[in-house]
Amino acid sequence: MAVAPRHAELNEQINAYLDGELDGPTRAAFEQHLHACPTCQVELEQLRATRAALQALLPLRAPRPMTITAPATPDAAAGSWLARWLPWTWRLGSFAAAVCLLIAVVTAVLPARPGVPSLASTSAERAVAPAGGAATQQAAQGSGPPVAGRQNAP
Amino acid sequence: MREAEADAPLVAAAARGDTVAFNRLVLRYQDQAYTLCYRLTGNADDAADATQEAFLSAYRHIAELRGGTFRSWLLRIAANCCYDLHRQRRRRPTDSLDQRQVDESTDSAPLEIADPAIGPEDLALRGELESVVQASLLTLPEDQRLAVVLCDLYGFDYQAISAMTAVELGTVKSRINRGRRRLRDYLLTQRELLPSAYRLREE
Repeated sequence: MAVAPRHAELNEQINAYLDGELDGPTRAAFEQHLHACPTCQVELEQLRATRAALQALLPLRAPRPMTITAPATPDAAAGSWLARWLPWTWRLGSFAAAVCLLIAVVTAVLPARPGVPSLASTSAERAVAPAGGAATQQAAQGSGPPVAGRQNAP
Repeated sequence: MREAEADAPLVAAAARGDTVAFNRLVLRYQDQAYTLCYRLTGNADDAADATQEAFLSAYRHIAELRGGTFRSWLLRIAANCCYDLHRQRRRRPTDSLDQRQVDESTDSAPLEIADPAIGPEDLALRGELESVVQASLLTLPEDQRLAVVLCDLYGFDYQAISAMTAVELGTVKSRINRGRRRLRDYLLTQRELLPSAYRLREE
């Protein structure tokens, strides 16, 4: 067990010694060396002071609440995708119904005016129009009665 | 471990998508996560961004948490978020420059958690210590900085740090050894700025 190479080797263990991370035999060897080595003694004290300075740093407070809002998972994202698009499909449905109703009204009303060329010129087409109108009225929900009155007026 | 037992039901609920349970974990650990991010980045705004990102990432991946504590798992994620942020800033150096300018002008020093046992004089000393020691940490390479901070500020042993950072025990030992020596060298050059109680002796 030569002394000179032991210093370099054991000095490498100095922080592990400080942290109580050396196993029994290595710790005993280090302590034996430390007792006889002023360099390691000074260094150990400096490293102990360094650790004390770090440990004296106070914990900090987060500057704002770091709480999260729901849609962070892929599943939740999929849920919100559906939630975003569902109202649109409903609105699209209502819009389509309204367009159908408008066409129905126009085709029903136009032939009644004298002198205006009719779009729904045959009786067969005219017969279909009110039926389509009634169907779209139900789909459109609530825009029914006034339109029905105009259809019947002529 | 009592802390881990207290977290377990919240972690399980959060894994089922319960954001209320997850947010209770957030409130329990946000200061610890933020402190780690600040110690690693030295910048209050970056630390806040990294902390927020860490909790979002933790929520997305919480079902993958098996074994180990929520605390150590979260701190590892927070450290990774700091590295990611650092890499982003390096890729866009102008952002980083702007950030520093904003930082200087708004003086966003971190808020310490008040300890009622510390008097006003002691608090002033702490302020000096804070700036010198924080500056010393920023002189270390990232891997050494993380190992030393986890060891000295969070009290993790080498085995725990090895598990958290996914490196060999010998590597942790070497990082702490080199890191703390480097801090010692820096603090020796700054000894006049340190409160006397923490001043390093040269001999």
